[in-house]
Amino acid sequence: MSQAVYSRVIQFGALLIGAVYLVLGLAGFIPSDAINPLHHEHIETPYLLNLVAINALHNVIHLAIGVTGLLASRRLAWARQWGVITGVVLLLLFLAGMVQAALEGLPPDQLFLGVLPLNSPGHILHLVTGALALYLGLVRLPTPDGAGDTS
Amino acid sequence: MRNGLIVEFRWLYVVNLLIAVTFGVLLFVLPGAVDIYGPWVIPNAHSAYLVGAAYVGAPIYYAAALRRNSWPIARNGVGGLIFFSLALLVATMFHWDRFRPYVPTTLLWLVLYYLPPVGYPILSRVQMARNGNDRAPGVDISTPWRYWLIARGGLYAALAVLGLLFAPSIVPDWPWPITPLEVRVFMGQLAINAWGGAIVLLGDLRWQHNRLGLALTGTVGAAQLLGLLLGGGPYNWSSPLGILLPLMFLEWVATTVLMFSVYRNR
Repeated sequence: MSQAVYSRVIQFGALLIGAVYLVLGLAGFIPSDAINPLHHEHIETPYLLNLVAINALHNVIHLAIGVTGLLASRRLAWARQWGVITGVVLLLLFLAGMVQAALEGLPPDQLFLGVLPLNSPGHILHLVTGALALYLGLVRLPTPDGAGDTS
Repeated sequence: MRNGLIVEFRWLYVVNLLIAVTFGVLLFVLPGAVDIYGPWVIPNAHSAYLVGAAYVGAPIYYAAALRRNSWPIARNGVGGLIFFSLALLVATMFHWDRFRPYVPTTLLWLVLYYLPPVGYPILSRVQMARNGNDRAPGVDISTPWRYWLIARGGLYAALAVLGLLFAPSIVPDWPWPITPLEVRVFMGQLAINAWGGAIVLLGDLRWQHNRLGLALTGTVGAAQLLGLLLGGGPYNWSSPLGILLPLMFLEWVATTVLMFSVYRNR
């Protein structure tokens, strides 16, 4: 199996995660109560697709992750760097968000650092996509002689 | 190992197997205690069995995939898991207000159904890049069976989409008291059956590629019939779905049993 084949896999991964975040970022700006209904559980904020607590800043961050993912998917080195950086940021956000939620008594939603609405579907979105992005950044590539190609 | 499952899939399948066994047993043995362990409170035992049948059937797929350790045999199941997850994500989106936000099983539920739509396409490509993507040996399924699988797959795809979109309209016709959330979650099981038809429609006729998916849906159908036998409340046989539901579950079992008897060891 050639490294070129593996490269396409890593770049595909960055493209896919980037596309997901781009779509989520764009969908978050749709001013429709049917798509992003306003919730009043703890803080008053819209839930993206009735699931992920968002606001304009949160949408911009989703868009930024999406656009950078799409750009990074053009080259292997960029895709791997993007995977590491995005993965670490998202996993740290997951951890910090969970800690804050625990300290606040696990409310249905919360305002992280006073600006970013989060809730449990958002935390898990950050956990899953962060872990996948980090995997793309760290998964061992085979060397030209096949070493490192483990299963 | 050529065509063997990559370590990432093996670990995921082991974890999924343990989760499926746990929740299959819980939902069938302790359907009245869902308020303790469930992501949301399922109002009666009938509905718990309806949801739990998927977790009774899933271990068949995971265990067989791990035992055979063959990507060509396990591959088509990955698509089924993706569509199952998408259906359950849609159900979650419609009814997030019913979920208990930080109950551990809610967090687990979200992980389980976020991961396949994004993670499995990536892991599938890693799998193929690392260990190949050959065809399994054996025979192709015959034309009559091909048409049957496509027809039933198309029917279940249509029903799954309609059920996801219009669950509240179906609830009054259900043979026991049920909420739209359980109806929508159940549509994931129809999505797996639909995927079985889509595979054949896309041209993958090799029996070895299709057998695990059929084993899964047949076992889910058997678990559904067991759930109906166990009861757990009144069942209205005269409701529009009172007869159709058991017939559908019987069809899942019959198609699997008949195909396995025709193609055994092939």
